[in-house]
Amino acid sequence: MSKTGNKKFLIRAALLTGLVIGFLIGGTFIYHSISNESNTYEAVIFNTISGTVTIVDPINFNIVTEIPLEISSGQYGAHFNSKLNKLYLIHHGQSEILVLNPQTLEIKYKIPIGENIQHAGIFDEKEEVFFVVSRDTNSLILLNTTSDRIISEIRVQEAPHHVARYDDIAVVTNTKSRTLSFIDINEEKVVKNIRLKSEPLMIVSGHNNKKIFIGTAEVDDKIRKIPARILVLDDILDRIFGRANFRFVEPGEIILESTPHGLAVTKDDKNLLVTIPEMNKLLIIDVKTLEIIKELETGKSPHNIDIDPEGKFAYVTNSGDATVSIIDIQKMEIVTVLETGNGPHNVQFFNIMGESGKSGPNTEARKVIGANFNCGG
Amino acid sequence: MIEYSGLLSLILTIIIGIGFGVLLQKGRFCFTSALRDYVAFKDTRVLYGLLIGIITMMLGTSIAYSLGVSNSHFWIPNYGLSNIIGGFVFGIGMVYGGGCASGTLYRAGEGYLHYWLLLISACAGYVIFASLFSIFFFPYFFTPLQIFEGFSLIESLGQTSVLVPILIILSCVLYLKKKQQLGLITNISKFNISSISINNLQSAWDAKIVGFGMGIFATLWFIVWGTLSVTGPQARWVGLTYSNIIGMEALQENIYWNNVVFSGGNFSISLDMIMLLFLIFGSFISAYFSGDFKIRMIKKNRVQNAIIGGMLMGFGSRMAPGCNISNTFSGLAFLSVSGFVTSLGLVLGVYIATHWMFRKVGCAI
Repeated sequence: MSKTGNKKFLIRAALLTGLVIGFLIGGTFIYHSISNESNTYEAVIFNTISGTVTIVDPINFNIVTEIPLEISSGQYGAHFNSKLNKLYLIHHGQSEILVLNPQTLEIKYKIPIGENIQHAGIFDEKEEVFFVVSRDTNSLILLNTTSDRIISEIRVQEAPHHVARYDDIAVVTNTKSRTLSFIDINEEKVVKNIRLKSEPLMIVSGHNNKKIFIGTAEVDDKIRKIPARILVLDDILDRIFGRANFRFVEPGEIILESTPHGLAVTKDDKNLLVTIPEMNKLLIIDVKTLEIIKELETGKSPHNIDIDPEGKFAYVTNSGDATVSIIDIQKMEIVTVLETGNGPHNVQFFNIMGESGKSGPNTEARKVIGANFNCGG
Repeated sequence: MIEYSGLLSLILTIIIGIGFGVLLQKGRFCFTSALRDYVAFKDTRVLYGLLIGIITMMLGTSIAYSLGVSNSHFWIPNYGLSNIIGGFVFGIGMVYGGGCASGTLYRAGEGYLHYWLLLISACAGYVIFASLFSIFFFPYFFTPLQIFEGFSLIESLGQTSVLVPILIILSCVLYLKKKQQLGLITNISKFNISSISINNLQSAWDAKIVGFGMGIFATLWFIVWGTLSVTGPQARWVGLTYSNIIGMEALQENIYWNNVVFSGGNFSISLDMIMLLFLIFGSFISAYFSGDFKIRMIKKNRVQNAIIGGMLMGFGSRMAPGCNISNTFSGLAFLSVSGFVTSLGLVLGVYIATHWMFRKVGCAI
């Protein structure tokens, strides 16, 4: 190559390099400007009988698409970890947690965890630990979400059903023994068990008000007649763990017409939402006065309630007629009812449509894992 | 625990690993030499071999893909400015250190202690990178920069992908014919097995023939395992070794080791890791029987090159992500955008580093 040839070659190479780098800088700039204004998540409804996922646009409440899941039919609880961009799917009554890629919904691997695990589970605040109960081994299992390995297995009482957490305290409902087990997470031991009049079922904690809400079953047999209730334990954790000198008092209660199922506390801690499957109702309860302030008619057999990350809308899955009712929390009215696949179980909010270029709560983690490093190169 | 999908795969892995080692050693097939020699001296000996290898692999993998090999065998990472930066750092490191990812391995097999030190330094680079990943590289490097979805033309075309390399080969033949430079094709066509003798085998092989052989082996590897890569399995070996020093729990707590290097916390020995070992063994065997093997002490004034160059290569290959083999060789063969972008950064790094290293004598380009 002559000197002129060299020069021409270098100019062409520099132009090509400049164009590519310019494109990447421009693309990066545009991407970040657009993504700030974009919608950050979709509502992802898990229909576990049909084995599908219905994706809902949470702004216009349109169904975007329905995607098949490669799972056998059954009852599954879906739990999205935004920190690690992981999706846990718990097959109720089985012994494994399925770990899915939240964007492709492919099963990546399974975690053997315990016998007859219950589909409900919760993460700690940092999403580093996942709490799940194993009914047959009467234990609360703590799972490290990074390594997916069991950190601890804590024995509670007979037939644990559901778990809630407040600060470093976990509370488990045990249906057969009709008790609540209070567990110090740091000490990894049960510090107190409280016996109730009837079976405790679902349990949730408030966000900032130290309250715990428990749905209990209706009992109507020859020996006892106890109505279905919502129990409210206020400041009880402080009393149990000796952080205040209050005397233990009976919890507050709300009498219901039928056994409740799903429970959710609104983000502002003002209201508690409760589904009553047998009556096709959603109750809105004022947490301060413990009064039912609104009853909404849902679809058939309303099941779980999930509130969107902004705290504006509640999604109630109606497992009896394959629909989801979307409720405006502030207005306390149903905005729309959407058809889903068979057996809608629960709703998770994350950016499943990653390829659209939108950002989401999980984008950071998705990029790392989705970058398909596989440590490939 | 060793994880492999059958004895046949394991045997093929060993054969392919040894094959790569022999070819790299006999052809002195190093990307640093190919690019640096071209920039500094306009020497195209290895560069042409590299191009032939890429086109052969493109043809081979597209045929295999058309015949039913899964698209999961393609490695198509997302890309962005991070690739340019990572490639650039890697390019600087390989010129300063004196060898690319593959060149380092075959020279290590020839007994050069300089390249063992370079390799160890690169491994130290992986460990430091992993410890900085969650606090720096993840939030401030990959999140803002690696934003585009990965794309490969070969993978996206499916069964028709085989037309692309055929068109490229035809265009090359027509171009060379027009320029009356069909010599290298004639060289390949003249090659016949009866001309092979012990002396021929012991002497260095033509880089073009080696490039062709590399393309064939890379295709076989694509069928057996997936994309040909070096620093990926290297990082996994480092991870397993490191876990014996600081404990498995510590690695499981680190998001880079647990979720990226050992995807899903699967800490086991995979086929590509085995292939890598046999690649070094293959180059050792080849060097030994060619009389090229000798323990060569590292020169004092080159110690810093090995340490700094190796560290830069370790960091660069994690930042891009990928090395010259997975991006420039496999990536270009897949016509992958990330491979192209990373290679561009790599060439830029090589160009600048070569000019700096040869600043006293000057470069041809």
